[in-house]
Parts: sequence; structure tokens; C-alpha cells
Amino acid sequence: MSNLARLRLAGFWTQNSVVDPQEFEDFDAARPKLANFEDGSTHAPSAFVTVGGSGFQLTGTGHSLAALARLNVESTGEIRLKNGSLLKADGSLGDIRLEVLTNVATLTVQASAVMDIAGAANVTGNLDIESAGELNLKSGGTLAAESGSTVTLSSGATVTIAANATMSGDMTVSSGGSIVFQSGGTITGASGSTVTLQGTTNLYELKLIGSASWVVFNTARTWLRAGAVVLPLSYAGTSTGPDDPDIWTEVSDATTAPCYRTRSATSSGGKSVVEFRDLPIGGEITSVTITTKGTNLLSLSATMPTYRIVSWEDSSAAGYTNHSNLTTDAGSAATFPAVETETTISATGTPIVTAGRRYGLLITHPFENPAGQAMRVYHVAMNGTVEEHQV
Amino acid sequence: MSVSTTLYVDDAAVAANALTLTEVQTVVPSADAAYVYTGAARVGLNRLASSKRAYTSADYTLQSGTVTSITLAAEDDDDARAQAIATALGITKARVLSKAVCTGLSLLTGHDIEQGPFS
Repeated sequence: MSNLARLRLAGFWTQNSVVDPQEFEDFDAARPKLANFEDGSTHAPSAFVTVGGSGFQLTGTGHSLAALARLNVESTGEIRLKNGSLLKADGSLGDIRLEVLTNVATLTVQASAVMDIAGAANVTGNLDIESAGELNLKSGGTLAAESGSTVTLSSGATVTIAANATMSGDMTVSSGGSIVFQSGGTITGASGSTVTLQGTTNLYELKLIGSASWVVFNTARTWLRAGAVVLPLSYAGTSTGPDDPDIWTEVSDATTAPCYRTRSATSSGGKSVVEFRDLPIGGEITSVTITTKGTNLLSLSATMPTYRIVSWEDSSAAGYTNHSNLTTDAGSAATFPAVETETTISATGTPIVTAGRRYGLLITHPFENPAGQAMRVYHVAMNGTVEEHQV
Repeated sequence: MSVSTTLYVDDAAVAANALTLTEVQTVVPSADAAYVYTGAARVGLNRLASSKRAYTSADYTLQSGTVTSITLAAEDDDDARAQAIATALGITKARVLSKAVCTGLSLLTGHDIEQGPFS
């Protein structure tokens, strides 16, 4: 619709012109379309009444947008609040105020007022939770920090986690930081989980749960046990006493330390076992080394001693279990009385140290007829590896 | 916007135009004879479109006299009013506008007498 048109063009209300009654009729017919700004009037324009230029200025406090009425701000339109102005949602207990205070635009949600955000709120500035304020995550709510975001808890801040926390990424405790488990606190690693502590770990009490849980070494450790006890098994060549045993301890001919020495024999029959004790249960035996030397320099063709790694338990029920091949001393008969020789007896069958069994090196003594030959054992030790420390 | 229509007016109308132009120019200094014809058409149509007067086609019988051809630039709404009358009475728009211009000039010069149409 257009504005009310002139009844005559400008200049045509001439001095002598005859005014037709219809023109008055038309003029009067247009009056109801005009606003009565004195007594008030009501209109239902069929199209927008467009006001440009300086527009309207409303004064007073009685202006009203009537019930069910709506004020639409069209595309690119604005409602602008100037400094000191206020747009107020008038609550009975608290208001929501959008105002410009000292040229600072401010949105205030007073106590008991509510701001519901069902869509998205994008915050590119700071969101400060002031003292006594709370950020409550209600049931079903989610607080998600997306990739590339940062959550920083400054020194002095307190974080209380009373709920279950699931972590699929890494948690790094930097230098100076710590994880403290107070009395009653626990740390539980489920089956299949791994706890890796590369630095120093101070444990006042370590409890392994279950009957089959052991301390496991990531890389197998080597162990070494020197022969602890010599067990004579022959007496003047026979297997029963009470004659003098065919092996005993005495001062080494090279030092003042002890060594084992066998009886000088002209025939076979001398035998003994050097037992190794305090072996790691669950460990694997890899070899035994023995350092020997003959005693009779006049004996140049002795029958050399032999060795075998054995174990046994209840000798009334079963004899030895062999853990190596029968190995002859590495020395030669010609130099046996003169040169200390180390012989290595390699284990076979991957023997595992089992609780309750005894382990040793079974020795058949050297002999030579008619000169007779004996030997000294300066050192004997069992070597092995262990991956799991059992008891 | 305006719509141009060629029509005829009599000598009295031409003379009334000149008289009216002088008065109109006191308000609209740039006014000319064409502007006066345009404004006169509106004044005439204000009467001819009156619902109180039951005009018939007989009221648009051509008048005799010395005539002058003019090109009227009628305002859009005036052209529409003229066309509505012409359609209702089964006559040409030019005839309606001729009567409107002549009658308008008559009224503007103090004569309550309808004039025209002319051809």
C-alpha cells in the first residue's frame, strides 16, 4: 500500500477554484486512516507502516507490546542498546538484565533467574566461575575436552574425584609431582594390565595376590651359586662307610683357602656330589663350571674325572635325575697334575629348579694304576637364568 | 510515474490553463502548462469519479468547438481512475480524460460547469 495520495497536486488549491463535495468526501474518508496521537486510535494496517528518516522517539514508561503481539527484527535490522540503557526480563525473584554500564555491555542473570542454553554457546573469551560460583555437571551431562584443548589446574587448586575415572590416554606426573595414596587407598591393575616404573620405586610392603603370582623379570636374570657342600659317596672305593671318605676339604696347595680333595686312587669307585644350595626356585640351570687339578705329578695317564649335573629328592623312592650329559674333565691326562683346568658341564633338557629337590654335580674321581691319582677342586659353581622369582 | 495519453481540449481550456498556471506557479515555481493539464485532470476526475453522481456514457457525448491536441501525462492513479470509468461506460479513456481536463480547468477557474469531452 502506498501513502495517502494528495487529492490535488501541489499548487492546485487555487484561489478561485470550486471545491467539489466529493473532494471533501474523499478527504474525510481518509481521516480514519490517520493516527489520533491525542486520544489514541486503533488501526490494522494491511501492510507495514514504514517510518524512515529520524524515526520514532518514545518517551514515558507506558508503551506496551500487547499480549500475543510480536516485534520482528528483520534481516540486517538491529535493536541497539546505548550506554546506560537496559533490556530487562522482569523475574519475580531475580531479573535477567542486558544493559550497557559505563559503556560496557553487560548481561546479568540475577539470583533465582535462569539462563537455559539448549543450543550451542561458543565462548572465545574467558568464562570465569567466581568465588561461591559453581559449574555443576548434572546427571546425563558431559564435559568434553576435544583434541587440542587444554585443561589446566593451577597450583593450589583442588580436584576431588569421588567417581570412577576412565583413562585411555597418558597421565604424566612431572618432576616434583606425585601421586599419593593415603591410608585405605588402593591401586588395582586388572588381569592383562601392565604397570611400568622405570625410575626408583620405593615399596614398604609388596603383596602378591594369589598362589601363582610371582615377581617376573622382564629380561631373564643370570644367577650363580658356588658349590656349598661336598657329599662323599665312597669310602676307600666302596659305597658305604665307615672307612675314610674318598673326598674331603683341606687347604688349597695354591692359597690358604679351602678346596676339596679326593683320595689318591689306583682304581675306579671314588665318587662324590658337590651340592648347590639356595637355588632360585623356578630358575633354569644352564651349566656348571668346575676348576680342578691332579695331585700326583708322577701320574701322566690317569683316568680323568667325569661330571654330571644331577638332582634328587627322596632317595628311597627314586635316584638321580640327570640334567646333563656325562662330561669328562677338560684337562689332558698328561698335564692334569700340573695345570688347573676349568671344565664346563652344559645342562640339557632345560632343567628348572623345583622346590623340594636337591641339585648337585656328581663326580667320578680320577685314578691311575699303579701311580695313583687324586685331584683338588678349587672352585665349582652352578650357572643359570631366572625369569620368575618363586619360593 | 505517469501515463501519456493524446487528447483534445477546447480553447476555453487552453485559456483556463494559462490563468491557472499563474496561480500554480506561486506554489510550484517550476510548473508549466503540461503540469497544469496533469493537475487539472486530477481535479476533474475527483468529480467524474464521484459515486454521488451517476454518470452515464451520455455525459461523455463529444462537444463541438475549436480544439487543440495535447499529450497528457496523467499520474498513475488518475490514469487508473480514468480507465475504470471508461471501462464501466464503454467509452475511450481519452474521452474520459478530455472531459476531466476541461472540467478540472473550469473548476480551477471558479466555474462549476462541466466541460467536454472534445475530439
